[in-house]
Order: sequence, then structure tokens, then C-alpha cells
Amino acid sequence: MKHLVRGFSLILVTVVMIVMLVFGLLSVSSAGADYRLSTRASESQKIYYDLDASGEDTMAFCSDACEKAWAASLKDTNSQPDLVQFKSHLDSELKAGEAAKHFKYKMNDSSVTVESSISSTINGNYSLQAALLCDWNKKTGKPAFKITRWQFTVSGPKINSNQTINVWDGK
Amino acid sequence: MSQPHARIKNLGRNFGVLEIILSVAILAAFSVFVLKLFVLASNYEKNMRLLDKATYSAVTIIEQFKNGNEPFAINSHYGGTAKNDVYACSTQLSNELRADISIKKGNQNLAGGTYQIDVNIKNSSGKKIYELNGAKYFLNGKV
Repeated sequence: MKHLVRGFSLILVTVVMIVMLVFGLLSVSSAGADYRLSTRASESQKIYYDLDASGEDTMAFCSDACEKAWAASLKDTNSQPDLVQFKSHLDSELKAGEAAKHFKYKMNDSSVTVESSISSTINGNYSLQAALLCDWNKKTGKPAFKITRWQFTVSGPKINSNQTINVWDGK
Repeated sequence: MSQPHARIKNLGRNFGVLEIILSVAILAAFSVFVLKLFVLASNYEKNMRLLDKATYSAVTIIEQFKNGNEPFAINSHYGGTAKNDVYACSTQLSNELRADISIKKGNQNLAGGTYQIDVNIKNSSGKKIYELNGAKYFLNGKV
């Protein structure tokens, strides 16, 4: 029995130290992973608002073009609203300036649709798909752009529809 | 001259004391390293908690700005006044966090304007933890 007791404290201390070391490493690893996750979450917020601000700039440019086109058309026709003149001015306003490089537009007889796809400068996987519509067919006064789509997308691996599993049959 | 039996008995007693001293020495040496690990983990956790709070606060401020009817409507929440189309204020969010908010007009050439908001969240010692920028288009200063 005495032989068992001898050397026991050394073994006990070693085992305790190993256990403490393992717990310490696990604790650092877990806290580090949490911190990295938190950093990524805060970075993705920056990307979101960066893209949102770029979209707002496009909206500002288009609305400004609309204002200028309306003012120019009223000037041409002695303050009588003329949608043909307005359309012509809006077309030239939308073509002008640096911001015009960031969107495409289609013009019909009664409306113009602006489509913009903005990729994040921070992380290229994120983008904003925005669509604006200016409809002057309703004749409810001065035409103005309104947002019809404001969608954030993250590019990732493509989903193979053949490998999907039905988890709920709707019953 | 001691007997061989007594010498072995003394050796056994000395070995017990030596073993305890050795154990305490190992415990002391390794404890420093293990304690450092726990302190590091604690620091990570503290930084994570502050960054989470800072992110949440910055997002809240920007959403309040974006939901406003006019560019400087958030002064009803955080005080301060706008001068020459520029608004700046500093507000204490909690014991640990302070927010510096500034709003200014982005493009002066447009009829309406995109107003830009910058939110800087700092800790109690004034060190910047998080910065978030946003923008919103207000037609002639109104939604």
C-alpha cells in the first residue's frame, strides 16, 4: 500500500495540469472563434450599408435627372406639362454624368425602368440589385422615381435541385 | 554507523518531501502558462462583447437616421443641432461605449441630396471600436 502512495502526488499534479491546459486551450479556441464570428458579422454590416449607400446614390442621381428633365420640359412649353418633351430631356439627363455608368435603363412611351447591379468594393461576393421605375402614364402630376426592387445577394455555391430532400410535405 | 535498514527508511521519508516540492514547482511553473490562457480567453470574450454592442448600436443609429422624415431627425433621440447642412453630436450609449455621430450632405450638385451619416463607436478610454457609414436620399431635405 505504501508503494502505491509514493509518487502519487506527482502524478496527480501532472494530470491536473494537463487537464487545466486542455481546458485553457479549449477556452481560448472557443473565445477566439466567437470573436472572429463577431468581427465577420460587423464586417458584413459594413458591406450592407456600403452597398445601400451606393444604391441611394443611384436613386439620387435618377431623381435629380427627373427633376431637371421636368423643369426643362416646363421651360420649353411655357409651364404646360409636356410628357414628350419630358421624356426627351430625361433620356439625355440619364445618359450624362459618371453615375450613368453604374446602371442601365429602358425607356418606353409611358415609363422608364432603371436597373442597377452594384458589387461591394469590400467583398465582391456581395451585391445590390436595385430597380427604379418612373411612370408618367398615370398623369398624377410630376413624375418621380420609385423603388421597385432593392435586393441584396450573396454569391455562393450553386444549389443542385436534384439533391434536395423534402423535409415537409405540407400536411 | 547507521544500519542499512534505517538508511532505506530515511530515504523513503526524504523522497516523499522531495516529491511534494517537485509537484509544487511543476504546479507553479505550469500555472503561469494556464492562467495566461484564461486571461487571453477573457480578453477575447470582452472584446467580442464590446464589438457586438458597438455593431448593434451603430446599426440602430443608422436605421433611426434612415427612418427619419428629414436628414437631421435623429436629433430628437441624441440632441444636438444642425448648422449649414452639417450635424454632429456625441452621445454616451452605456458606461463602456460612446457614439460620435455626424451627418452631412453628400453631393452638393443634386437637386435633392444624399445625406451621409458616419457613426464612430468608442470605448471608455476613447479608442475607436467600430465605424459604420450609411446614406439616404432625401428629396429637397424631405423623404
